[in-house]
Amino acid sequence: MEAQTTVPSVPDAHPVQFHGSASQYFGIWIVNILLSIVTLGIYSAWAKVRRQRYFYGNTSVMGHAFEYHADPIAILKGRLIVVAALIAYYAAQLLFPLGSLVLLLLFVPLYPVVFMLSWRFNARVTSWRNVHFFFDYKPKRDYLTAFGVLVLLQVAAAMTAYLLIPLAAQRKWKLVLKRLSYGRQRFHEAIPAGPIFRGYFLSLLVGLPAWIALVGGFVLLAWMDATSEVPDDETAVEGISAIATPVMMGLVFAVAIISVMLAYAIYTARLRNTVFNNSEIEDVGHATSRLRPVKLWWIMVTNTIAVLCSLGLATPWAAVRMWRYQVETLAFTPAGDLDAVVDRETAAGTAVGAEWTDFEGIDLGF
Amino acid sequence: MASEAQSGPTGNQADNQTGGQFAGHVDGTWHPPGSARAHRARFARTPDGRLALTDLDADAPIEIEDGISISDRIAGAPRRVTFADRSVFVTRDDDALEALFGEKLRSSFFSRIARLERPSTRLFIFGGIMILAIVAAIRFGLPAAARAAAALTPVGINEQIGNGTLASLDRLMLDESTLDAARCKVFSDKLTRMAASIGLERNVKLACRKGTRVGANAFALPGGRIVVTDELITTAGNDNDVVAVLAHELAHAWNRHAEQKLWRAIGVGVALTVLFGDAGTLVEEMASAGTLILETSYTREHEREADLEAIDLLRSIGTDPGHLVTALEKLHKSCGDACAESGWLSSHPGGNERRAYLCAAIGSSEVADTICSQND
Repeated sequence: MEAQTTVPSVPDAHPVQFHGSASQYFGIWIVNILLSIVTLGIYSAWAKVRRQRYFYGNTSVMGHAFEYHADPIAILKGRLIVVAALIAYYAAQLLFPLGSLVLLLLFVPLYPVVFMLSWRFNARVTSWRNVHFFFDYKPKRDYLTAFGVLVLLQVAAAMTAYLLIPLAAQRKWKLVLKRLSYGRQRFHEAIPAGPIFRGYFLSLLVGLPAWIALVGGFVLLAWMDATSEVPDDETAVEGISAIATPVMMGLVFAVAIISVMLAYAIYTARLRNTVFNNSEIEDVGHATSRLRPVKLWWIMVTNTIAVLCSLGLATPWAAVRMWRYQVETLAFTPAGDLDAVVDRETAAGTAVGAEWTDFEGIDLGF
Repeated sequence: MASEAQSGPTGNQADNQTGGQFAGHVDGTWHPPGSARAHRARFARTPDGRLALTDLDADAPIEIEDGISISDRIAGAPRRVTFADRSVFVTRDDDALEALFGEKLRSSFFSRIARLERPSTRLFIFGGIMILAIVAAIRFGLPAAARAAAALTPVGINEQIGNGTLASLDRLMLDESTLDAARCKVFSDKLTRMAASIGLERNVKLACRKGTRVGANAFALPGGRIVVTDELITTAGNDNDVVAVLAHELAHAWNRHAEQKLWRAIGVGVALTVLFGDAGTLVEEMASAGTLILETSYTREHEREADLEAIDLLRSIGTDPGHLVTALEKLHKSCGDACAESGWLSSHPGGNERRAYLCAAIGSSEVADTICSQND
C-alpha cells in the first residue's frame, strides 16, 4: 500500500500593503500645519481627520482599504474639552497650589473611563470593507475591571521595581481584545505573558546601562552647572571639565539615547508581535506580525536624525516610512466567508445614537 | 466629513439596461448597507442625465436612492459615495468621480485643499518659509504675547498666584524668619521707598524668611511680593548691599518677569500641542527641548534688565548703586554648598560678565570706583 504523502497546505497570508508616498503626505502635512496655525488650532481637528484618512486609506488588505470616519466636529469638541480641563488644572495649580493636588487625584479614577471611551470611539470610526469595528464597553459591567487593570496593576508594577510591566501590558490587551469585534465577529485572544516578559528583560538588559548613563550624565551636568559659579572649588571642577568636555558629553548622550531606543524597539516589537500572533477574528481570519526589533530601531534612529537635521521638514517622510514598515510587517489570513460579515449596528437600523456624543473624539493616542 | 453633492435623480433602472451609452462613468466597488459583501460596480450618468449604478459581475443594475453624500478628497485614499439606504460605492478614481458630479464637487472646499496639497516645488518652498515663520513667532511673538498677557492680567489674580506660591514655599522650603522684626521692617521701608519712585508702593510687599533649603536667596513672586532670606542678609553683612539685591528684585516685579515666565510656559505648552500634537511625540519633544533652551536665554535677558534698572532704583533713594557689585562679590565668594542650584547666583549671567556691564552702566560712584577698579 502506497503511503500517501500529504503536503500541508500553506494558508493564504495576504500581506498588508501601503500605497502612499512621502511626497503625497508632505503636502497634506504642510497644509495641515499652516491652516492649524492660521485658525489658531481650530482646523487641527480637520487636520487630524485628513491625516488619519490618508494613512488608513492608503493601507489595504486584499485590495480593500481601511477607512476613518470620524466627524471633525466631534474631534474638535473633544479637544476643546481637553483644553478646558488643562486650563482649569493649571489655573487651580497657580491659584491654589495644594488644592491642585486634589484635582490630580481626581484624574486617576477618570483614566479608565477615558481609555475605554477612546477605544470605543476609535473602533467605531474605523472600517474595512464597509464594516465598522466595535468596542463593547458598558460602564456598569466593565469599570471595575478596567480600573483594576489600568490603574491598580500599573501601580503594582511600579511598586515592584517595574518588573510587572509585561503583565500589565498583557492584561491591558486582554481587556481590550475581549471587547473588540469586527462587525458582529468577535476577537478572540490567547496572549501568553511569557514572550512579553522575555522581550521586556532583554530590553532592560540593553537599555538599563544606557538609562543609568543618561541619568548619571544629567546629574553630573547639573552638579557642574552649580559648582561652576564657585571659583574656590576649582581643582575639582577642572578635573571633571577635562573629562567632560561638551563634545564628549554630547557623544555620551547620543549613544545613551540610541541604546534606550533599541531597548524600546525590542520591547515594542515583541509586544506587538505577541498580541497579533495570538489573536484572531471569529470566522474572519487572523493577522500575523513580523516586526523586527533591529529594523524598527534603525528606522527610529535614522528618522530622528533626519528630522533633526532638516529642522522638522523630514517629519512627513519619517512618518510615512515608519507607518509603512509597521503595516507591511503585517499579513492577514482569511478564514471564513468575508462576504457574510455585517456591521454590529445594522440590527438596530438607525445610525449612531445619542450615547456616542459623550467624550467623542478624545483620543489620547492609546 | 462629507460634503453634500447634488442628489442624483433616482435612476429608473428599467430604462437603463446595460449596453446603453453612458455619458461618463467611474468604476469601483459597491457594498450593501453595513455589509462586507463586495460587488464590482460602475457608477455612471446616463445620456438623459440620471445616475445609474451597475453590478459589473452580475451585469445587472443596482437600485440607488436619492440623498447622496460624498467623502472629501484626500490623496491616495478611496472616495466613498454613501446612498440614502447606507449602501456605499467606493472608488479610487477621484477625477472620474468628480467629472460625474460636475463643477460643484470639484470646487468644494476640500477638493480645493486636496489640490493645494499636491506635491510641488512651490509647496516645498512654502514649507521652508513656514518653518522660518514658526521659529520667528516663537522667538519674538511668544515673548511679546507673554508680555501683553502679563500686563493684562488683573492685579488680583497675580496676587492670588503669588500668595499661593508663597504658601507652598512656606510649606516646602522656607521657615519663619529668625531675624528681628525691626530689622525686616528697615528693609521693607527702603523697598517701599524705592517702589514709590515708580508708583508701586501699594503692590510691593517684603517677606522675610529663613531659607533653610534655599540658602542665601531673594526672589520676586507674581503680584509684587518679594521674598528675602535671613541667610542672604547675614551673608551680605552691609545693609546697603541687601537693599541693592532688593532693588534688583523690585525691577523684576516692576517688569512682571515672573508673570511673563508663567505665560510663556503656558503659551509654549499650548502652541506645541496645537502645532505638533499630530506630528508625533518625537517632534513635540524636540520642539519643547528647543523652547527650554530659549527660555534660559530669556531668563538671562530678564536678569540683565533687572540689574540695569536696579541702578536707577537705588539712586532714587540715595543709595550708591556700586553696592550691586559689592553684593555680587560677597555672595559669589561665600557661595558654598548652600548655594547649589537654587542660590541667587545660579540662574544669573556669569559673575565676570555681570560685574563688567554693571560697572560700565554705573559709571562713577563712591563705592563703584573702589570695587570696579579691583582686579579679582
